[in-house]
Amino acid sequence: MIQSKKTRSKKTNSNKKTAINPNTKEQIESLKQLFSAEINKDFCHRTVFVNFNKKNAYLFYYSSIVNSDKIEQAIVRPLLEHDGETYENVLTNESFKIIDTLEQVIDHINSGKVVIFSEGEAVAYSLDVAQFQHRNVSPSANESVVRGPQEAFTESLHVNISLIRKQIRDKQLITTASTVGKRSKQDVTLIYIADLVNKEVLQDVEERLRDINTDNVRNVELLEQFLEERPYSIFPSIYYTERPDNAAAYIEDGHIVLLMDSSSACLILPVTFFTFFQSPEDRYSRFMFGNFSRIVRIIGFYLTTMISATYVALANYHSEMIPLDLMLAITSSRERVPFPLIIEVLIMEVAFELIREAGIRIPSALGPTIGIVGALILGQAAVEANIISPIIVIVSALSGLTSFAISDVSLNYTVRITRFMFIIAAGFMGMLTLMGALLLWIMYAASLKSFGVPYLSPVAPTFRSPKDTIFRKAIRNEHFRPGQLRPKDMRKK
Amino acid sequence: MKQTDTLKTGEMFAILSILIATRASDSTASLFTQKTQNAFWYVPFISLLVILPSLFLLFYLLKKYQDKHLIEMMETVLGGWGSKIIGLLIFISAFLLMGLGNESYVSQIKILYFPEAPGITIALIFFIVVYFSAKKGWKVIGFVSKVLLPFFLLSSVVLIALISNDIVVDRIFPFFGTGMQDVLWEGVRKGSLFYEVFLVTIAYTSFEKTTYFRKGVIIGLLFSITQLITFFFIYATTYDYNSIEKMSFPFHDLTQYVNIGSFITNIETFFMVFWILASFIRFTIYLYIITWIFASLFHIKYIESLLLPIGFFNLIISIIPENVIMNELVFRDALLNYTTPLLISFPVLLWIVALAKGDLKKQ
Repeated sequence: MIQSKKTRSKKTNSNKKTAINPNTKEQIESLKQLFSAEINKDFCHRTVFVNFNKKNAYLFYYSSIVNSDKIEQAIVRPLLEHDGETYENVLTNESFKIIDTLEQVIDHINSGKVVIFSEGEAVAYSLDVAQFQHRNVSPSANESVVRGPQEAFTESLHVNISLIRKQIRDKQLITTASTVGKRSKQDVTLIYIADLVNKEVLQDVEERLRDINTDNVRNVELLEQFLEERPYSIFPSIYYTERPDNAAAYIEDGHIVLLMDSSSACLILPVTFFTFFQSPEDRYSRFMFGNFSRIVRIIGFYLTTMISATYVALANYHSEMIPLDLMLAITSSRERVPFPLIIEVLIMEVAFELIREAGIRIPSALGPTIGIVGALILGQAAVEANIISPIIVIVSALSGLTSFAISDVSLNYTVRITRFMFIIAAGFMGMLTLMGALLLWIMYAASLKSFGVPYLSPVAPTFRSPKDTIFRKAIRNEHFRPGQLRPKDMRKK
Repeated sequence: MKQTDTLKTGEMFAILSILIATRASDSTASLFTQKTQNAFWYVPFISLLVILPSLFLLFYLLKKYQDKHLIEMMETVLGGWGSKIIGLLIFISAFLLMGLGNESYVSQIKILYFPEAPGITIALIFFIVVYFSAKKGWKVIGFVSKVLLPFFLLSSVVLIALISNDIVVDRIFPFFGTGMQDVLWEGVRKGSLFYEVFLVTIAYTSFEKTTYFRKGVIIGLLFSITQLITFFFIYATTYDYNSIEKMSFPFHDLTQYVNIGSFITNIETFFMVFWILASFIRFTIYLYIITWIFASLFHIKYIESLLLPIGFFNLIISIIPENVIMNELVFRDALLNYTTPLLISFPVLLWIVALAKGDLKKQ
């Protein structure tokens, strides 16, 4: 019922079309009113006397988002000087388009095109002269690698697509656009290899893009939240990266990449848990070196999620497991601390999270302060004041630092939230509840799907795949694409 | 999109291994030693031999009646009432066994790790974890079993490696323990040790192909019997015949006995972590399977909504026995003995009826 209502309202929306009034004077007046021309400073309208048909032409555009040189060179001068039969002959720009509804006119003006009305005609002509301002291509700040290309995406669709095309010179590499947003219409560009991508996944994505019902989706960061299936889940289901080389690698495996004009990153889907676990550098390094850093990362993953919780469980409930000498050292250092162990651990973990959050938000000029405050006050002074015991500093520093081994920003959050859940679980009844929490956590992860692909595949359920999960094979021995995506072409030739 | 989350041989193997091989770590061993003393280590093998013909008969029937799981197949063969009676018998004995097994695990955790905690709290935690895991559904249970099985194997390999120095192989003598007849009889009576293999046929149709199910069961069964006998052998050769009778929890005694070097001497918690995880999954699978049997007996569509009542009644069953000795040596022992004839006879009954109806000739 709800579904049918939705589709009906969509239909009426898309069917609303107004033809262009052949009475150009009236049309122009209404257009000016629509764009509030008197008060809108960067909205431009010019009148040009056209040489070839000796009639007036009216140009409309936003001066802030177009290249004004290009307007002079490619539009105004030809109209004033050149001879020809039709507008198409005179304006030879490659983006020349004839449009016939008012809605199209509005869209085109909003997206940085010049729309030309000719006296007495029921159509308008549009030329793309957009020049949105953006940053230059710069090195990746959040996903830096030692070995591998340094370029990162920037806030321009054209530049981003060119960065991807540079790496995949394939005629089947398709970039299609669909619009999202009801009020401000933004283009979302889907990039994929047509003879690899699974059609059903593609349709699913396009459908979800169509179903987004909101006024404006400004960038991919917001788009991710509109697209994902479970907004309350602690696991990310769409991969977010700012590296074009990473995006290209996933496209070649049959994934779909989404780009938007004002984001310096892209979204990759569908993904699995292992996508987030891996870093592009693992593949750029040689087999041994890459797998070594994977081992380091899996240790980091274990430590950051479990070490504090394990410490709470062991020290509170299973102290016989800790060797006697160490146990005595721990006990004597805790002698003068008034809090229960779990409170101590939570204080330090929260403190670390605070330092981390402050470190991101602090103006860079004040950066060093945070180190001094963090190290001295929270480390040294808190121990001396008997608020926490020294071993807690070690444990929480270990769990905090190892969380940086998880390079992906989204999974990093997952891991940090998980850590707190595990600490609290371990505080209840030691290993019993900790293992219960761990099992439920794994169960939850296993039940997730990202665009129809199980989250723990290709391990469980099993698929024919490059077996690039926790460890990877030598590149020359990877014969298949990830089977969980059901790509059209399984074999990497 | 074409289904991407399908169960295969690996999942079946993992499920069955967790269901049966974890028996090596619970009190089943001490149950056997009461009657057979140090000959108990090969009793599972006798039990398997006893149960095997019926098992193959059941598989044969399932293969003949394609695309039907245990209860559906029984309904086709026996009709409404007959299948309901046998189905209910199977369900009730499985339900009781799960309840008593639950109490056994809870008291193991309580006695060994949380002596001061009230048993009901541990039982409740157990119930909560098992219920919420089971709620994720059969496929997820399969996937998680498969992900975690290697870790369980790793921990048992570590345990075997650490204990191997203390094994005295000569302790298997006298080979027939309390006497050949006792040992054989005990093996026959405990055919229900492999009850789970019969129960799990309820999932016959949930796999991508039924061959995956059969393959998984056969490999899982082979693996489980190996694991059981290996561990029982280790218990027998570590403890010798007089003390073994008095061991309530041989697995935990073993983990408390071993150490790594002279610095880390108490590593039982390390093994307990994997043991608890395995027990959680074991009961999750168990709860899901018996709920599934119940649901398909009465044609109830939503298995997940039945998990809570069945799980809860199970919790109640599990707190009825007064103490672990009563539970283990009286109730569970008797129940295991009584279920064996049921398991051996019902596939035969099904086969005879199917033969009489002439269903088996058509295909």
